[in-house]
Amino acid sequence: MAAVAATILPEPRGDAALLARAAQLSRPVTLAGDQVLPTLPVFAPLFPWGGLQRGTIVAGAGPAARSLLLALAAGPVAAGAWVAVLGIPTLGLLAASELGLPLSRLVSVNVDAVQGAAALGAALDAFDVVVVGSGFLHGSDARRVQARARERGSVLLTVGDPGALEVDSTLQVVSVQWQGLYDGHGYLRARQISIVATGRRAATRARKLSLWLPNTSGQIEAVKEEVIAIFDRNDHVLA
Amino acid sequence: MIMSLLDVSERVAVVRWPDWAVVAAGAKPGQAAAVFHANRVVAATPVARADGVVPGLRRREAQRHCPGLVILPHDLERDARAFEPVLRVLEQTTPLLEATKPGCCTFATRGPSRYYGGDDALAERVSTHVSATFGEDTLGIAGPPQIGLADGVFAAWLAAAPPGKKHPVTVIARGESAAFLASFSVAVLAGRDGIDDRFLSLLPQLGVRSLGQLAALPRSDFAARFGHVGRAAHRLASGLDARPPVARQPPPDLSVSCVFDDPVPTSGPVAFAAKQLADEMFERMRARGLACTQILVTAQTDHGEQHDRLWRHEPAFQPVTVAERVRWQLDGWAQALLDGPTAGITFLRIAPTEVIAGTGQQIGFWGGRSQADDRAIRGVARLVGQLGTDAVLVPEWRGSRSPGDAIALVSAASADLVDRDAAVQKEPTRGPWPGVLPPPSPATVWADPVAVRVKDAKGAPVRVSGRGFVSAPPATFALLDEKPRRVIAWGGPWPIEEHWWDPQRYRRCARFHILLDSGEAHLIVVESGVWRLEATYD
Repeated sequence: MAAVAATILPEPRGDAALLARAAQLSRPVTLAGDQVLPTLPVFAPLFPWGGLQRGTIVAGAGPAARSLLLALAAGPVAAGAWVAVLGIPTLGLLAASELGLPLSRLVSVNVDAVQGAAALGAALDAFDVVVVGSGFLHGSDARRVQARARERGSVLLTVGDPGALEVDSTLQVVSVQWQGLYDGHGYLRARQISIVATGRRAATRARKLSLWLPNTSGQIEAVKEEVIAIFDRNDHVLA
Repeated sequence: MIMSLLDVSERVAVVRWPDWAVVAAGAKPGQAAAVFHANRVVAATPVARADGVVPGLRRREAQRHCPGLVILPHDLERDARAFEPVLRVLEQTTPLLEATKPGCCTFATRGPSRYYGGDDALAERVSTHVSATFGEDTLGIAGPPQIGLADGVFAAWLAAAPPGKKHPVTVIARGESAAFLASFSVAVLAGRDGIDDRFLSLLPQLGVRSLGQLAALPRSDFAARFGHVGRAAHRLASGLDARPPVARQPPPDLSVSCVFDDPVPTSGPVAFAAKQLADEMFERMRARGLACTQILVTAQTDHGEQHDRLWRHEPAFQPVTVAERVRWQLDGWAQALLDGPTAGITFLRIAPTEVIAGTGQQIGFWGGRSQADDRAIRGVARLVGQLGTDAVLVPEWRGSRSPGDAIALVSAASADLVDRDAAVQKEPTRGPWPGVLPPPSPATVWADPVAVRVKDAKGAPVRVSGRGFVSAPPATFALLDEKPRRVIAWGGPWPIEEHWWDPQRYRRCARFHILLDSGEAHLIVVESGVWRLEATYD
C-alpha cells in the first residue's frame, strides 16, 4: 500500500513548493463579509451580508421552503458553483430549473441515515452548496459536519427539520398566497410568500421579506407596495 | 464490395441469462418479481414476464400489469458476486473468459471448438455442463443459459437473445452472420459504440429500417455522411466488429501492479489501491492518446493462488469502473467454495488488453472547466466510491407531460460530468408536449404516488366521466389516514391519454390543481376512479 501511495502522489518539489508557500503567505486576509456566495439580488434583505455567507448553515421551514431554498441556491450555481442534493429523492427538478438553478451543475445523492454523515462530509468537501433533507444527522456527527462546512467554506441548506445541526440562519415561510386558481377554473399560476429570517450573531435581528416565487411571468421578485394591476381580455397589463 | 483483411471477425460465443438480476436478487420460482433501477424494470421472472412486465417498463405501469409484483432492488455488485461461480464453471471449458457484465460473458471459440469437435458440440457442452453443475436449485428461474455462437460479438449477442427463442443454443455458421443480422431492426444497435438515439431515429427517416438495408449501402459513403458512428454501425450491421481488429499488442509498460507488504484479507482496501493503480494506468494511456475497452485483472494471494479475469466495458473504461471490476472479481473469488483464496491478497496487476484511440476530453477555449468543476467531479468520484454507482445521480432531460418524468436522474458514474449543458437542455426536437401543465412546477414530486380521498360537499367521492365532466366540485381532500381538509380552490380536470399505441404504457387520467385552507397546493390525478397525490407545490 505504502509503495502505491508514494508513486501516485508525488510531493511538489523545488520551485513548485516554494511558489505554493509564497502564494499562501501573500494571500490577503479576507473579511467575513467578503466570503459571500452571490444570490439573486431579491434575497439580499434576508442576510446581513447580502448573500449566503460561506461556512454557514441555513434552514428553510414552512410551506414553501423547498422552492425558497432552490431559488436561493440558484444564484451561486448560476455563477459557476456546484450543488449536491442529499437524501431528497422527491425533489422536483423541473421546478428547480424553472427557479433558475442550472441542472448541469446539480448532483442528486440517494443516501440513508446510516451513511449520511460520511456522504455529507464528502459532499461538503467538493460542492459549494449542499442541500439536505430532514432527520439526517445525530449529535456528534452534526458537530463534525458543522466544522467541515466552516473549514471548506461550503453552504449547507436544510429543508425541514435540521435535527441536531446548529443553524446559523432560519428562513421561516410564514404565509403563502396563490394566485390564478379559483373555484373550478384557472390554475396555480403565481405565489406570494412572506419570509421571516432569524439567526445568530450579526443576524439576530429578525428580517422580513415578501416576494413573488414566482410571479405570473415566472420571475422571482420582491412584492411592491400595493400594486393594482388591470388586465385586459388578453391578460395584458393596462395599468 | 471490396473485402479486406480487416473485414474478418473472430468467432465468439456469448453466454447469457437476460434476467440474471432477479436470480441474483433471490427471487423464488413461481414468484412474480422484478428488479428495478431508476424506477424502470431491468429484469423480471418468467411469471412476471407472462403478465407483461418487460424491461424498460416504469414501476407504476409494471405494478398495474401485475399487482402482486415483488420489487427487488438493483445491485450490480450482488449480481456480479452471484455470477462468479458460473464463470468459474465456464472456465473449465475455456481458459480466458471475458466477463462483459453480470449475467453475460463472452469467449473466443477457435481453440475450444476444435478441441470439442465443432461449434455445435461446444455450445451443447457448455449448456449441459452449466445446467448439470448447478441444477434447478441455483440457476432456478433463470433456466439454461442462452448461448449464441457467431462471427463477431454483436451477432453472437443477438443470436443469444432473439425474441421468443425456444431453444437455448443458436449457432450461426461461419460467414452467415451478415445474413442472420439482415432481418433485425436497426434499433438493436442502440447503445453500441457511441451509437446514440439521435442517429438511430434518423435511419428510418432515410428508409433504412433493417440491418440488411444498412449493410447494403456503400460503407465509404455511409462513413462520409455519418463519420465514426456511421462506420461503426455499418460494420456491426455487416457482421463485423465495430472497429477493425487491433493489429498490435498494447505496449507492455501500460500495465500497472502493486505488491502488498501485508496480505490484505478483504476486497475493500484492494479496490481502493486498484483505483490508484487505475489512475496511474490512465495517466500513462492518456500520454499516448489511448483508451481501453478490455482489461485483464490478476490477483495473487500469499499462498501463491492466482485468479485472472478479463473484463470488457463499452465504450471505454474509467478508473472508477476498473476499481469496481476488481472488487467484483475479488468478492466473487472469495466466495468460491472449492478453490477460493486461502490467504490475503499480496499482488494485484491490471493490464489493458485491448486499447483504442482515446478521444479524450476536449477542454473548451472559452470557460471550459473551472476549479469548481474539477472539485465537484472529484467529489462525485468519491461519493460513488462510498455509496456505489446507483446512489449518485445527475439530471437528464427526457420530456414528458408529468412533472416527475420530464427530467430523469441517471448514474453520475456513466455520465459526462464536464459538459452537461446538452444533457439537461430542453430539446425542442422531442416535441412540444401538448397538455403539459404550465409553470410553476411542483417542488415535490412523490416517487410512489399516495392514494388520497377527494369528496364533494355531500361526502360522496368525486368522479370524472369519460367525457371529462366532474360529478361535483371537490370539497374535501384527505390523505388515507388523516382528517379531511377543506378545498378552497380547484382547477381541472385536465385529461391526458398517453401511449395509446402501446397497451403496456397506455395511461388515461385527469389532473387537478387543488388549494387547501391550510395554504397547501397539490397536483392530484384520478385514474380509473382512484385518486392519487402526484406532486406538491411546496
